[in-house]
Amino acid sequence: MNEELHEDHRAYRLAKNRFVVMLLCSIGVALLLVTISMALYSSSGTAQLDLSRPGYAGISSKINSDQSFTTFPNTGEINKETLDSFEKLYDETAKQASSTNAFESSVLSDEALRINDNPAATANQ
Amino acid sequence: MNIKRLIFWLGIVLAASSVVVSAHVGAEQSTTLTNSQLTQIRTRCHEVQATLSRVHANDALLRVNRGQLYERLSAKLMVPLNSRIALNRLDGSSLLTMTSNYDRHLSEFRLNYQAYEEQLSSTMRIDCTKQPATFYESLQTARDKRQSVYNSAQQLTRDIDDYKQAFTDFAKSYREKQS
Repeated sequence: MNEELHEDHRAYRLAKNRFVVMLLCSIGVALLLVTISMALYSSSGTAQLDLSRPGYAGISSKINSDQSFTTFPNTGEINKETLDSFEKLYDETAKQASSTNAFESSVLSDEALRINDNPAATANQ
Repeated sequence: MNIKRLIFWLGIVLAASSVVVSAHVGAEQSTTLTNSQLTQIRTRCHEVQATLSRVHANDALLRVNRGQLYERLSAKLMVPLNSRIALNRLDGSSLLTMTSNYDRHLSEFRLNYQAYEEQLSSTMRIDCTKQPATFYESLQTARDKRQSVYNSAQQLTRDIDDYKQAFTDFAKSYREKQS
């Protein structure tokens, strides 16, 4: 009778240990996968394009989400009309892509940040 | 004889080390902060941080919108036209070269922006009230990296113009052949 009880107790402990081991393994695998995905997220440059991050709430609505632009067909004959239609599409997009002097360095200058060597000038700004 | 040789080598070592030291001092001086600037950074730290935060957010928006246009030009216009020209067995080799240059410079632009954004983020994490000199040094690096992003964007603008020129030449020669 005692032996039977002992056997039951051992079986119960083994089952309980297996459950704990399974839980720990699941947590370990989840942590590993999260670490890998976070590493890929930051190393691939996706983090820089993710405007859903904290601090970008105000500007995410300003993203140009125009999805109406159609791809120029990559099949069909080449004739005057196709060349004209390509030129029109290209000029429109090129004009937008070259419109401003993007990423000018002056916005980070001492003057722009008002930390230049002449405090009087800074105070007057 | 040995002493003369020793003096000769000692002289060379001294001359070389003085060149290295003077170059190092020159580099230090170019980024050395004046006391007035240090004080300004400390006292205006919050304002500077707020400006950097605004620049950071605006840059992210510009990167996304400009990046979409750059991608569109390549994937939706240049590549389809190039394959259409190839399917029609016409010579579009100059357009292919321009597209290849453009794609290479677009990859550089992405990498340069990533490096700049990481640098600016790390600058913003520095407490400029406690470490104004470290903050300024990090800011200088961010400026250099921003300059690289600017150069990449300028290069892409030139590539866009070059592709347009190649297309105009192709269209001109095609029309001449047709007439």
